[in-house]
Amino acid sequence: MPVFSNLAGFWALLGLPLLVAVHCLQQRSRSEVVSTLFLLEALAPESRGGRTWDWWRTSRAFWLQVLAVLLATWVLTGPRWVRGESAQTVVLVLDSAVSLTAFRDDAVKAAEAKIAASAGRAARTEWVLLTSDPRQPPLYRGPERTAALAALEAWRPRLGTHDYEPALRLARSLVGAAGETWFITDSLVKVPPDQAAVSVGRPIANVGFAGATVVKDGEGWGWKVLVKNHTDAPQRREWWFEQAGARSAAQPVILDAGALVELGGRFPDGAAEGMLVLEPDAFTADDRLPMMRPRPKELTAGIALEGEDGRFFQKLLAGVDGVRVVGTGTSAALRVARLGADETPAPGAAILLPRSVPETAERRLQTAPVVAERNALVADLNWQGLLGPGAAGLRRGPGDEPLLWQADAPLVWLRPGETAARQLVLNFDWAAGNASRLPATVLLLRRFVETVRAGQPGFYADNFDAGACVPLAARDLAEAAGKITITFTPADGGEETTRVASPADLAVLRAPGEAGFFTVNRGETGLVRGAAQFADARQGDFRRAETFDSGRGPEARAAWERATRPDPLTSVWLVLLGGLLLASWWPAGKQGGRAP
Amino acid sequence: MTAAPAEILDARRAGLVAAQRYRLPFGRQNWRGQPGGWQGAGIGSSIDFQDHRAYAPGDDPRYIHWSAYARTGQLTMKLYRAEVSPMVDVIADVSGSMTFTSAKVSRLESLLAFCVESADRSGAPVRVHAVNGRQVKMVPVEAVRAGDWRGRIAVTPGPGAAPGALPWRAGAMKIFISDLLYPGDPSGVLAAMAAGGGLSMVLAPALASEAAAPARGNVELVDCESGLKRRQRIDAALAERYREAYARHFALWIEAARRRGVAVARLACEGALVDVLGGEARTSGMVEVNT
Repeated sequence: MPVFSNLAGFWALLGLPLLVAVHCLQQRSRSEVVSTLFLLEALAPESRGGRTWDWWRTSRAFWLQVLAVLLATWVLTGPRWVRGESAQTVVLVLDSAVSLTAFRDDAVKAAEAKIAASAGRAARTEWVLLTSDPRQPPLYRGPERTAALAALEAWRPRLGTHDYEPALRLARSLVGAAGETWFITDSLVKVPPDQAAVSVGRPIANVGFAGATVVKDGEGWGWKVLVKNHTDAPQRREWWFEQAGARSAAQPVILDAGALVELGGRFPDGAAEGMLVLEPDAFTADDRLPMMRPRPKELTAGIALEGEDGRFFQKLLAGVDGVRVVGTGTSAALRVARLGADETPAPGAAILLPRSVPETAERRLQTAPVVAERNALVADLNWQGLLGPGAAGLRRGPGDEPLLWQADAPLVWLRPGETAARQLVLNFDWAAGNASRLPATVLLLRRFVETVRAGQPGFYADNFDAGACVPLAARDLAEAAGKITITFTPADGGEETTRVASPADLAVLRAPGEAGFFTVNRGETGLVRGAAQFADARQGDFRRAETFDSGRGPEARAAWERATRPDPLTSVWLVLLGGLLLASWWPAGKQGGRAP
Repeated sequence: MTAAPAEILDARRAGLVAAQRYRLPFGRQNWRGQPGGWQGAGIGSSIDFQDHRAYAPGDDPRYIHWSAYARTGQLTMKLYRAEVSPMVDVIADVSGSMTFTSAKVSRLESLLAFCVESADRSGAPVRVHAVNGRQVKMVPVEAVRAGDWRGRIAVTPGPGAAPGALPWRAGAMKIFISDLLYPGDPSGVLAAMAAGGGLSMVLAPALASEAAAPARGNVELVDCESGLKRRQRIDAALAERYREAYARHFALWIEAARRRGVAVARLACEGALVDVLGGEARTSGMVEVNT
């Protein structure tokens, strides 16, 4: 089968209807009124179409000109023949952004069209279907075109805004010099320069949820939700709250062009979860917002400090959700205690302070700047206001990770261990400085407590962005190899699914990629109950979505030309074409005139 | 197409001229009808002896053959031939094919004038009808004589079908003026003419141009009666087949007419009527020379 290098050459086929029209006009030039039509009908009783065909059939010039048009079309389309030894790799990169859910069918059709167009351009073709999701394996890789088409059904775009370059770079490396890559997306802004792409997007009047917070106040649990109008025109929508099969009355919300509106409400009494629903539009991923009333893990804390310091830590720990301060006599998961210079701390999570320096001791204000290490506990905190006598006498052990330095002495460090058993050592005189009044210190302590709390085994409930990490205690994971199941109920009312978490899942457990409720269980024990929420409002903005086909790049064309050879008879066809045109205008034999 | 009034007048004048030289064939057979000047088929009061028969009560005693009674003693009646005026029925085909060229219109006009004038000259009562397919309209003879009969009848265009039942009178001289250009079996028309005795004749105006195919090459043919259109490529072979079909069409009419005792004469539309009547019509006895 030939392949055509210039599809525009098929426009030459328009010469056929033109030819027919010209001959029809000639044919209609004579009309006669007769009285013996019944005799002719008896002689030539075939249908009118048949008589017309008889006219066409006997017109030599017409058929010669038809042949000339077909020959001209053949030559203009530039037919090429595939070399027997040629091979190509065709890679299709499918955009995994969740915005593609609105155009998924169109994108699949575009991919099928590209596969069909690329088929036959080389003797052997390797098909590779990738998604731009770096965590997903290829949808298909192999020589079977039908299998590649079938694999398109498995494509589920779920990601938020992400970098497409790694997937495209991988595609280009797979293709090499023989083949082509296609990026199937919905907007030109996502396409790197010189990348062959097909876009199937179009502007959609989308209004969707852009974020949510669930907060506890004096009256109970409430929620605040942002609704974004992603269009350049005012929009009106209705919204309602669904909980346990019941639905509240629909309320209207009117949004100006591009406006962001906050909705607020309270969880019904006793309700642990619910769904906020916006009147659906063409992009449904951001029209349903599942929400969960957060329930943190429990953490017991014992404070072995006296006086002002004790009251400070009491107040600080009581302000962290899930933390319960118990007496020092009981076994608390987190201890707040003092440590002597020569003492070895007991194992377990702890916040350790140096023993108090006697009031009589000489104290000098340290003026050296406090420098923070690169660590999440101290990230973005301002320590310039910390005043005090500097480092105390506690000694850092091997493996301890400093967090703060003043001069050449560490002020704060972390003792290594599993998350639930880490120790934070505050190596400065707490009472002699302004640490208890410095926001950075309070935040550091709070972050540490929350980290320890998160490392505790047990159940918790929370709201997550779709695809976000779901923290699990290391102890829960260690005890549950092969027993952890994830149950997901889509927000759009789809069927509930349950699957066993693979080792890859457990390496970094993530919330589902689409909105809905999910549960992580270890056997019969619940570990996490969560609400996965549509997270990336940018994906709901379709104002720059468009439809286009960039066409093949110059490299792909060069590779195709290497895999094919031109029609060797082109010059013969050209000569024949000239001959046909001359013959069609040659006098028509006995009639002595030119053919019609 | 309609002919100009001057052409109609000329055609009518040609018919009258022809009637001065020729007449309808009244002398060809015995007639029935009103008393007149032509030999009748029945017993009458002319001077031409016909037969004898025995007297029957009620017979006119003026016709008793007294000489025979004297010889035989039996009352015998002398019978004489009747003299009648034959009835003439003229039916003119006014379908589209008879009127779409001025030549045919003129020939129809001249033939109609000839027939009426000839009948008038012979004292024969004449009745004229116009027919177009299934439509038959009575035409006042005075209108024919005045030359404005076309304005007195209203005939709508027909589909070009064969004529329906025609109002022929039994024993009359039946004259059908038609080009016979319609499809179908001629037997129906001819059987109706032949029924009831009398003399039946078909005067068929013929255009020389109709005998050949309409054109050569690719043409759109429009039927003059129904308006139907037909695109046809006419090549030499089809033209030859057309010529043969045209000849066969009239051969069928003539053969069917011969079987029914109906005389058919095809009269060319070209040339003077008096000359045309002197041809086939004269030789086939459809007109007689006035004496």
